[in-house]
Amino acid sequence: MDAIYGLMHGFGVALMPANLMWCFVGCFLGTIIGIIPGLGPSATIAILLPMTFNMDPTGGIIMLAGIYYGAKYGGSTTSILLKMPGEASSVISCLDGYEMARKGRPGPALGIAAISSFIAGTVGVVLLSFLAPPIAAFALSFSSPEYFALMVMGLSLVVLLAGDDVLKTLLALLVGLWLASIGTDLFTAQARFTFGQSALLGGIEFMSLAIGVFAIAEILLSVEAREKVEMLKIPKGLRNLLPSREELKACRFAFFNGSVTGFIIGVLPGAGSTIASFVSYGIEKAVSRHPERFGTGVPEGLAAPEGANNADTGGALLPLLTLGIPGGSSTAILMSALILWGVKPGPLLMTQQPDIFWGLVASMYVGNIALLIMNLPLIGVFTHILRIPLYVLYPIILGVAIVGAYSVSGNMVDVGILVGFGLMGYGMQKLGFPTSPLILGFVLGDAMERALRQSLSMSNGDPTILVARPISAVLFVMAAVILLSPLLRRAFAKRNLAAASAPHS
Amino acid sequence: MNIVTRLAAAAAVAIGIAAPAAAQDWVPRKPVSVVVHTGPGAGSDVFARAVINIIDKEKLAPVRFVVVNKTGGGSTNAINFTTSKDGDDYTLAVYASNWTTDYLVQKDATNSLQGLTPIANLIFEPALIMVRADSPFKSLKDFIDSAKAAPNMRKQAGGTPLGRDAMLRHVLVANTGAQWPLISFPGGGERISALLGGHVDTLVLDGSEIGDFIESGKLRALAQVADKRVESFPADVPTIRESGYDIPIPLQPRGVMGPPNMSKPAAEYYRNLLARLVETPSWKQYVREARLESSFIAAGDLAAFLEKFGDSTKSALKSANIEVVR
Amino acid sequence: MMTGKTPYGDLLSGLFITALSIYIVTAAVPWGVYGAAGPGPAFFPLIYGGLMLVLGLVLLGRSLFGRRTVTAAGEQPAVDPEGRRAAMATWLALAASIPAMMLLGFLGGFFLFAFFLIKVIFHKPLITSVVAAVAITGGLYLLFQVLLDVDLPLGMFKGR
Repeated sequence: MDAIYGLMHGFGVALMPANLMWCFVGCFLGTIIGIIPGLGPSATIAILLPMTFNMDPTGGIIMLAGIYYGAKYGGSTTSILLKMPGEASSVISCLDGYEMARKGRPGPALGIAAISSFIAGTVGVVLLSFLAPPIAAFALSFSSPEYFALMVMGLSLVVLLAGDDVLKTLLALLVGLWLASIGTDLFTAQARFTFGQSALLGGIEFMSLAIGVFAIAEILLSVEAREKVEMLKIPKGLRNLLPSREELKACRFAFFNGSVTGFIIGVLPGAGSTIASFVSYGIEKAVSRHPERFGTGVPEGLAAPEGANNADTGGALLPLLTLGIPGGSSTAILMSALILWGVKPGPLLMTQQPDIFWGLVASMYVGNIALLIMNLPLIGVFTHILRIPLYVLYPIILGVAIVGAYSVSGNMVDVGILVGFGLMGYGMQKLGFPTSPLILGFVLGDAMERALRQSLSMSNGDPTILVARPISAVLFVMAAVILLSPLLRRAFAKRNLAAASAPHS
Repeated sequence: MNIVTRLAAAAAVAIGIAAPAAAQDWVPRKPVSVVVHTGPGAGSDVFARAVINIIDKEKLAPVRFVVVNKTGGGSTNAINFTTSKDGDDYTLAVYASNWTTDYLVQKDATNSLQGLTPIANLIFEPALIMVRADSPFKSLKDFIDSAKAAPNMRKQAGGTPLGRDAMLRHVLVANTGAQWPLISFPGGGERISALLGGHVDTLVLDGSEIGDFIESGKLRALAQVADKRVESFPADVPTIRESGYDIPIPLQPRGVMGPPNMSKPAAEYYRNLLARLVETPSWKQYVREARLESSFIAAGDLAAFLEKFGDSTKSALKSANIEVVR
Repeated sequence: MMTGKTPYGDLLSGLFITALSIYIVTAAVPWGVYGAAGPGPAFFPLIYGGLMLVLGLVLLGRSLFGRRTVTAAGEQPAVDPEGRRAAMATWLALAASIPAMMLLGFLGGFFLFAFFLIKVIFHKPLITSVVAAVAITGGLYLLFQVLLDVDLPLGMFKGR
């Protein structure tokens, strides 16, 4: 009941005109800047941070949080319209989001992203308001062996991302793992696979890989296909701007899945929203009645990761506000801002400075509603991007990609890497290798290696630590179920088909 | 990340930051880039932003200062970038202890901190050796004795193998004969939650990371990682030396360098600016709240200090059997 | 989603992957597999490198001796050599824009690339191509260099 009292107090703070305005301003700016590919939530917060220096802490943190989840709303726009991920956690949204847009339903795709973000964002805040202390304790029981099990579960999802050729899927995944280990080893500072290039010491930028393999490869394929593939015909009329009832109905489970998966993974300091989005996509596909249609533009394949991406916000704020632990770079910047104002996030925040804690939490209910209202009318504007002729659109996309890659380090080598990944993505498609397992391997590889080595250091080399703990055991069982789900399904299908049909590869 | 900081600058302009120019030989006329080696929110980035914030708040400079994050290879990409700005009067860099260490250990690192123009050291960051509040270890000696009795069974959470916390472990291990591994976690949050969750036994927490973990009864400090007791630390916690271990304390200095061949008047201007900075009330308040130690070392003294610091780092690395390539 | 699945392609990718895995394994071994503090830098690369080697050999074997993927003749996707040439030309132009930008700066290098793309790949008239390439290059310059203050690639002659 403390929570209800606190929340009521919080709404008193959040609904004060000044704070309400800061919440709106933050959400708006976050959405707008978050749309630019390469500028994810943490970058957007860092950009706008100086604006809040002269504000009072409550208004300031409300605005910064608004920027944070606003940027997450904005991140999916270019993923859906251009197959150019706006931020790391929207990479997986490219798969079904872009295919939906290609099928002539860009408006509904953007609408589903916004609605799913709203539902999951709100569920995340509800869980943050009422379950913060027990969930914080749960997060702490999660250590390296559990992370390893989580990553194994994530990798088992690769079976579900598989095309028809399991061998090539696994090879793509392994190449992803390799790419993830390029750079300086965290444990020993050994430079690995850097070919003597100091530009590679920091590892490969995830966004360079994703933009190269998805956006640039897509442009090459489209150039190759010429006029034969008519891209993106957009039917007119309001009905085609918003998702239909059937589409929303298909997303029912995805809304729930995205909310819960995103929140739980968001709470864990070592995981983050990118992993949350991949896992929720995999779960969605595992339970789906028609998994084979994933990747062809099914709305639930977009709703689940976009939801997870936004439920993650509430999850990530939980350890920050209740323990003083920032889980990722976005929350670390929020924390540094709080400290600059003289506010110490930590176990004592909730009781000693309830205005800040509950004011922030309450403002997030308001902000999510504001974002939904703000984003739905913007859909009509954004879909106009697709009316730009290709000969103008493609140079712009490639230019933005080049500038983005160059600006990270001011080094042309990084542009070369981006361009190389473009060719790799194109070549993989031509040779029949699916690209999403490569991305998945890259996303999980780093965290997986780390967790494995940390676990074995903790146990002095005893591998049973990986499975002997309750949470990791549960996760391994889930991994096994996921691994077996398509096999079981295939077995059933084969029996039904009978022996008459020709063998499939 | 560059986009980020540039945009930040644009935003800063939007809210209007103006300051009277002091009468001097050389005054900056356009925004100054401040290179840091971490991403937003991590040690050096937070420090650089705090310094810039104070410069803005106290109106010490007529132009904006913009953080530029050059991550990768520890500090290597940041040093390379700063070195490439040869002769530029509008680029500064914020260094930390690993700017010395990385060059000594990484074969691919080709530019050293000593090649840059020294401006000024600003702080040393003291730290605390921490355990969980319910830990059986009541003193540093308890922990080290236990690690001696059961080699490799006690664990320390840390960041990179070349960070200050890792160096401290190397020095303690080399001097006491105890043996325990450092388990690396990339983020500060993961490191602290590994300790809070009881998955490791100890860690070294920088002053600015301590927050209210002690007041809230979650963690307990065993020893101060400092040459003498730090005012802002709990008074009843002894230093490492007072705990009975007479070892050289690895430092975490943070300060400002310029690119090679920065013009003399410009370097002098920045030194003056920082000298005025450390006298402001905002700086003093920041240093107190973040539990830092202000230590202004300028120009030639800084070069000498860094030389000495490099040598002591080198011997610490060697004693820890880490391959030194230079 | 795939087209042109030929054993020849599988053979090539099988060879490439086998070579890559051999490189990974040989490069990793000297880094140390297992040390006093736990697994070393080579530990994980050896796991995936080894797996990659095995699977790469399987792919090789399948392309040489395996049963051919049966596709009905009508389903065989028609390879469009002209389209493929256009795609490769686009990529080569993109790759060539890197040295061009290093030499001429962003404005010059990117203008040439955009012009090539619009004129040669999209077959637009000369005037349209020049106007569009200038507008796109200028627009990007305005957005990033001027508005957002992001440094764009600098040429040999200190021009952007």
